[in-house]
Amino acid sequence: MSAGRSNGSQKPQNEKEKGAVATESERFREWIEKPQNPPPELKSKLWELYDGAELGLKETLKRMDELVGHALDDDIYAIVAEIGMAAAEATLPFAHRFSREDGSVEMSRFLEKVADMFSSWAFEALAIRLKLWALMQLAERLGVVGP
Amino acid sequence: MTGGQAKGEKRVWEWIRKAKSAPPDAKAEIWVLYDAAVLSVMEVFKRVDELVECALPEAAYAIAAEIGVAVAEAVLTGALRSSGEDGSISLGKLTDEIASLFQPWFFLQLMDRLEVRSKMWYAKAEHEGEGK
Repeated sequence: MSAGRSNGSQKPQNEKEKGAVATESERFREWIEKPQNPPPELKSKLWELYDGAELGLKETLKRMDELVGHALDDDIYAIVAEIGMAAAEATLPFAHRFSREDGSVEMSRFLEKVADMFSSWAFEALAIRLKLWALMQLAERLGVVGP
Repeated sequence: MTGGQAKGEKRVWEWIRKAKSAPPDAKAEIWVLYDAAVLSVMEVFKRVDELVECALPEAAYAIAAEIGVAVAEAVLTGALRSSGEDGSISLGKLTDEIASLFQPWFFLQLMDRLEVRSKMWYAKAEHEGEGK
């Protein structure tokens, strides 16, 4: 951030920017504080939901590999699901940070931030299975490979 | 490339090839499973935020879920790459692979998040154990 920008003509704009940042921070803090301090019965429900989703993801990925006769150890799917859920959860604070007062999200800033999370090669490689299958379908259509 | 790395690469290619040439009925089932996993992750995060009255628009949860499932798949590739011929995984190599997926600042944040969660789980398990 450069210094010496507080001249009269820029002041209203700066104040507006500060106001927007404060709003984002407020929304972000609110989002962090609320799950930390829910009533006890709600907290256990939050855990159940989270555990259920993680178990679902683990079992799904395992089942997908079993279907093609190429499953790994059970522990691996547990680690994979854990990392996947944590990564999904970690993207949400950015959505909150870039949400407007009306609750809508500034998608371009959100996506830029999501891209920042990854090494550039990894960001390109995401959705590996989906991309490979799309390429395969294209190759089949073009007659490069076939069943 | 060392012998171990070459074997790891071979396992990745085998994994990719098998999924690519799955029988049509298995392929259809795989797509259904994948879509269901994304939908489930999306709905859970949305429900969690709704419970604390701090929900975002649905599109944000859809993106978060897509990213989460894609990251899980990317980690799976890393696991195959780090696996031995007997199917065992070198956790040190796997952790290195996972770290290389992310920018260092984000990897640290992710590890913090996982550590906090695992600590809470241990505490929860201990509490449940005491209750028995």
